[in-house]
Amino acid sequence: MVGDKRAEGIPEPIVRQLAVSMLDAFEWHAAILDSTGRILAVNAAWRRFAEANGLGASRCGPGVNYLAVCDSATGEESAGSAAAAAGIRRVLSGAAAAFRLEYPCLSRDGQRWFAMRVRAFRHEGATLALVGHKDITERGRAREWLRLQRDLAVALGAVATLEDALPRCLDTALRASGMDAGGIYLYDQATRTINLAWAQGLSDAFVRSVSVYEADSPHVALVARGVPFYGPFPELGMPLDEAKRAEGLRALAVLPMLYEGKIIGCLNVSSHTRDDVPAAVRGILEGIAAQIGGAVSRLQAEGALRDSEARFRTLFEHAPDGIFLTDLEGRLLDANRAAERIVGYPREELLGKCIFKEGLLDAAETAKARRNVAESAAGRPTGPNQYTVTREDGSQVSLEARAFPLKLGAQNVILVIARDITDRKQAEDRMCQMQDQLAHVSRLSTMGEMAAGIAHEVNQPLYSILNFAKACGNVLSAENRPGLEQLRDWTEEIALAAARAGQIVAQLRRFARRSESVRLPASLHEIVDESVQLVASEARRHGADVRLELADFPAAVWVDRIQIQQVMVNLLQNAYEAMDDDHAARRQVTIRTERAGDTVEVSVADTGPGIPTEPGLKIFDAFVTTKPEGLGMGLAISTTIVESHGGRIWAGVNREGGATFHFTLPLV
Amino acid sequence: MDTEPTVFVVDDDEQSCKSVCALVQSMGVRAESFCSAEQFLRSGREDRPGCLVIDVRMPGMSGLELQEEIKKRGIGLPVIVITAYARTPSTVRAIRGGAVTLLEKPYENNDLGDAIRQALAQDAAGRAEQERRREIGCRIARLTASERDVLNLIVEGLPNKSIARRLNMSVRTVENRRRAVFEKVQVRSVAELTRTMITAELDAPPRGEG
Repeated sequence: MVGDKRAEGIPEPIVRQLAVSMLDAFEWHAAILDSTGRILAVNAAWRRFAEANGLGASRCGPGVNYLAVCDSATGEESAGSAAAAAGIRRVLSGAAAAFRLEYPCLSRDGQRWFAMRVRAFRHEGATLALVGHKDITERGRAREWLRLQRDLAVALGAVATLEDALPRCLDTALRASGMDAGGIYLYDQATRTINLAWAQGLSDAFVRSVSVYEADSPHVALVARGVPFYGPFPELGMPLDEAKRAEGLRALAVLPMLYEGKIIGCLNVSSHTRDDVPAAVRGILEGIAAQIGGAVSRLQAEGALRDSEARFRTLFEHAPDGIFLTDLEGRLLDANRAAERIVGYPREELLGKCIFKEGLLDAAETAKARRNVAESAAGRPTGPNQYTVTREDGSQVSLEARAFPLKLGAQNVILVIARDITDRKQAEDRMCQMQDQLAHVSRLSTMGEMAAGIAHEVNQPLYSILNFAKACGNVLSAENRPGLEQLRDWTEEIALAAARAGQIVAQLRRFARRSESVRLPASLHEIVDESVQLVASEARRHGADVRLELADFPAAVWVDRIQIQQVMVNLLQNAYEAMDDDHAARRQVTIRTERAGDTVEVSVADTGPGIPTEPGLKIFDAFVTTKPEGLGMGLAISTTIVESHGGRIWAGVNREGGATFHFTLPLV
Repeated sequence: MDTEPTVFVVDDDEQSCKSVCALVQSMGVRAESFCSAEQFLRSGREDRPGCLVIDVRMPGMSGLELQEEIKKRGIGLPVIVITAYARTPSTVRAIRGGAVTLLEKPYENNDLGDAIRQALAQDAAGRAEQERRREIGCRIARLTASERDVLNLIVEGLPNKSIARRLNMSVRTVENRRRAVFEKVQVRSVAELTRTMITAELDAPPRGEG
């Protein structure tokens, strides 16, 4: 601009000195090349750089052909040098006015970045080039780091497993730091150890020797502190075994990976050739470590979720109970294997269908299921309810089902847990049958014991009939037939006595009959009366005085009449027999009933010798008896009967001697 | 005193009791029923003619206990014991106790009516015999002490001479006394006198229970 005018006014040597000074003040390394690429002049920055990199003036000073230097470059630098030489040539040939280039260059303290600017200018008819050169490593690194980070972030976002992510992360860290070996350790919360998950550039022996750091090792303590370690490998403070020594690691960086305060693990990078980790790459490594920490944390969480889902699915599938998931209308959303097994249809056939419409349940049970689903849809758990399901093959299965309202995400659903109780029910039925059979056998046995008494009981009316009949015969055969008017009375008496005999026989037959247990509403007092009559002859035979003290309320119970009679008969017989001993001065049996809450309690008290107190004698157990000819079944069966009716049976000793047996039955 | 024979029926079973009474009435015999042994013992009927029909098994005093009590009180009523269990020990006990008949109910071949008839006849015969002895006793009571002495020696079979010598009296006196004895006792021969005296001896109350 005004330079030319001033230059004209300024003497030549001053201009030259000024130019040299200005070039020297310039922070770029600057050189002027002639048209062949020979260095004409360099500034102070150029000289300092050449010296710092061990390049003396003979190799990179005036007189040296810069193009030749660039062309002779080999190895990693050759690409950048070739590009530089090509650009300079184009400028010197006039093909381009200017040229700019940025290139990496490996130096002693890691990879460095350089910018080159070349500009042509004409001097005395020749084309010269001004070459500016500057170390832009910081900027280059930042840019490279941004690129790596972006690539890494994209890569980590795409990977689904730790196995895929870790090699990528480690490779990036090594490339960014210029280190040649490393590993990624993950923290195990259960064992509180850190374990090597991925390694690169290390011998197998070394990898084996550093695969796990124990909870109390300095390495774990270092990671737990969350502060990076940079230094020579031996300074980490772990004992050096043969494998570690042989590996010959020198520089080491240990970068703890933390995520939201939780220890994730650490990123270790090291070098077999360098002695320290350049300060410039430390930030990059820390950034990568943080990124890996975040990714690992996410992947671990995802893995845990997947594991948890898999676990729950496994639990669901292998649960012994059938599990059905339905919507609020009862349409099946999911079912496990046990559910398939229970209903005998493959899941695919069931899904989406309404559980009420598959012919699984009969009409009454479908209505019951519908009510229960509606109940659960309204937010209340139901069950256990029993259902009988008809399978596809027509066989039936008994279920006990509970239903729970649930919210799965945004959907309200009903969880139905169904247990196959077919076996249990069959066992229960068999048990009931066996109990009925046992009770029957016991009744027969009781009747055998009562045979003499029964004979008497039947004989009594037969005796009367005989007498009345003979009386009638006498009157009819006498000549003057005295007492003829009494005949009508006597024949009526005959009918009454015959009816009485018939009743006794009928009652006995009922008692002896083997019948399905039938429970009906009944008056306990009636049953007590009948039982006392049934063994009235026994009372007479044993000379027992029977007294009834029945409470004044309708003792309505829901029972198998014959079985409760059996209990009473058993207790009464025991009472009568207990008083057979001659020392029983008073032979009295008192039968009492009283209300006890929502049950009625019956007690049978005798004046016999009481209950034997031998240790270990459990009179309510089967085959335990104190009677010489007893089977020991009576009390055991009475217990079974009373308990199956929801009652309780027990015995006590009276204050004035004798035993009292009590039992309760729930009132209707 | 009521002398019409009565059958006393003791049975706690009302129907049985009634039926026995009916049978008895149909035989033209009076019957009275008692529902327990105690009731009968309180009734003051033990001296009346007739017989007892007792059921063995009763609450309170049993039939066998009643039988023993009757025997202890010296009541002469024949007893028919009815049992549902003709078990040996109770049978033995009843027969030792002097029961006329032991019937197992319902009886088959043995007829309760026959048993009652037999018992009443026995009672009647017993009472007739007792009456005869009482009468003989009255006749003997009319004899004087010396007539009694002569009677005893006649019954021993001594001739008049020996009696006279034994009693230190004349043969004539013995003959007179002998005539008086025959008249008062109302016999015509020594054999008849001896038979009467044997009956009278039997009538004597057992020794030690006078």
